[in-house]
Amino acid sequence: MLLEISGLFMHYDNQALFEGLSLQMQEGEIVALLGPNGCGKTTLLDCVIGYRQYEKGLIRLSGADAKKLSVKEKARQIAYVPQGASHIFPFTVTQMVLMGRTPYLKSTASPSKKDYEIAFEAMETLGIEKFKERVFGSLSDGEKQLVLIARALAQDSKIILLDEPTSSLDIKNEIMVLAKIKKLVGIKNKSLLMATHQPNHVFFLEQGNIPVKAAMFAGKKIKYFGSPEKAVNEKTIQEVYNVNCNIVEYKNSLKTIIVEED
Amino acid sequence: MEKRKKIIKILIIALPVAAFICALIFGRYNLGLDKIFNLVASPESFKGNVSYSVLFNIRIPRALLGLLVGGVLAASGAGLQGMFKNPLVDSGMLGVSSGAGFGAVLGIILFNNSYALTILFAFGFGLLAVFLSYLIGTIYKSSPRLMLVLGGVIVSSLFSSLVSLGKFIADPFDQLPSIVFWLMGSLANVGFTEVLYIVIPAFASVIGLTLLGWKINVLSLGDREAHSLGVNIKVTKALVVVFCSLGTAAVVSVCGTIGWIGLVIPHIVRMLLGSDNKAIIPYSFLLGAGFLAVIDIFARSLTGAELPVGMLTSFVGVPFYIFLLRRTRGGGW
Repeated sequence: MLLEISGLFMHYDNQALFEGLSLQMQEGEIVALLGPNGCGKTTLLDCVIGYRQYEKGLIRLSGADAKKLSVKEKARQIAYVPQGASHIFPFTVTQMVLMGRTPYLKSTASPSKKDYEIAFEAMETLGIEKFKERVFGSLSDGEKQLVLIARALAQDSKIILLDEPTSSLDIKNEIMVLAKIKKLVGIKNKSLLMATHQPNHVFFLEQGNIPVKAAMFAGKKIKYFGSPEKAVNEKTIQEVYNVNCNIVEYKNSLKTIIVEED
Repeated sequence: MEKRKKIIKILIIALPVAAFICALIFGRYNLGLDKIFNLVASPESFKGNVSYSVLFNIRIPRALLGLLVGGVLAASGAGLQGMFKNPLVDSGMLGVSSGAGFGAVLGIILFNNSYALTILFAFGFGLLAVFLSYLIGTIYKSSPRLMLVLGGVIVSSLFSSLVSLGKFIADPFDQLPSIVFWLMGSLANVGFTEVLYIVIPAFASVIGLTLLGWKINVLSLGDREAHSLGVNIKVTKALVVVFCSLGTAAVVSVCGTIGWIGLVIPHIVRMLLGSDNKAIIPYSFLLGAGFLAVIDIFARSLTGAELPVGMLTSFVGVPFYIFLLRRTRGGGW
């Protein structure tokens, strides 16, 4: 098992956030984290990268206790794509992607020529090499997201975490980014843990033979976990989001959620 | 683009050298280049001469000190701006300058102008102020970066009021003028001893910050991202703070508070060379060094009496800063 979270307990401001949360991820699959706003999707990702501490439980990376790894060692195994970035200084796209090489640098060194090559390859994979001299802040939200994903790719880790990568994007960019995300699994054999607002993403990602699992938050743990059809259906959506819906199939394959008004 | 940057880099490297030579030539005592060559070639034959003492006892140490002080203030300003991901921060932010100011005032009052003790007190209190800011910063955990700035503001105002108290009780004829002059910042009345006092902490600070340059880039993305990219944020931030305060406390303790360099110089360098701190920090050192050495030439030769250099840097710094804000509004930020 690549990533194994078992029995996580965590409090925030005297309120329980997780009570015995468990989740597993295997190599080469996408696990989509679903749940209402404020249920702790981002916090869970923070726990996995070790940015926040949990009180009880265990997170294992390829079998090893994640708490025992140094920050640098962990960064070689897990990359993280933030929810959209507001950076102060005008770094270029190349510099942003190069920062993904940081866990491989000696502590006082700058990226080498080889690091540049790796970064450029990551940019090519995502089709953003034409922006390489541009200032990151001048890109559109969709392009920024691709740069951050390229940075995660340059980090050369087996696991990539994504925190709502499409939350600020319009439909076209949303589909574009999701398609590139699928490519990471299909071509680069990455394993992704992705928090998302949109249960429909699970169905979109499922298209094209990529192993996808859905993990639904309910009652301070992952209550429904497994294949999309098992975890995301009318009953679980009603329970988790308190929304009545129908799931219909379009052209006999792509499923989509139709929400009913009360 | 790359070629332009190379030319700019060469110019920035040349600036401190040119400033150093100008600082030897210009002043109220006339020293031509030929005379300087003669003096340097055979100093023994000029011993006892006025020109000898002007060059070796006054102008050379003062020029060196100007270079070191300007360079360290600019480099640590650059480091702190990156770490705090805030382009409006400078090395005074953590309370170093006001702490050192109070230390100097205390030294002047207690030891009646004993020079070495005043410097030592200024250095010690400068570092103490940073430590206090840091302690205040750890009280509330959720936003340590902001809290460290807030801690710096609190500690600065505490030491500023202590400085006022010191001025109030100081002897108005003897001690008060030295206090006021110290607080305004000046490179006057220094010799090789002061240069020797600060050369080690100054270089330790600049070299340390330059080596941390890439990590400062990553830190400037924010804590969560820096952590996810494998940077130990606590250790790295502590190192940045230590190197910045070490250098700043050292230079402030010999020449008082000199403003604007730490704020403005890194901005200029960032505009010219881009955002990589591995370049910003050493080039800020060079540009800050040249800038202060040039300003000091004006400070000592513009009028009959010596002008406080700290005042002049602000005079040049303020209009430039306003110009900069107008320019960069449409730029990459």
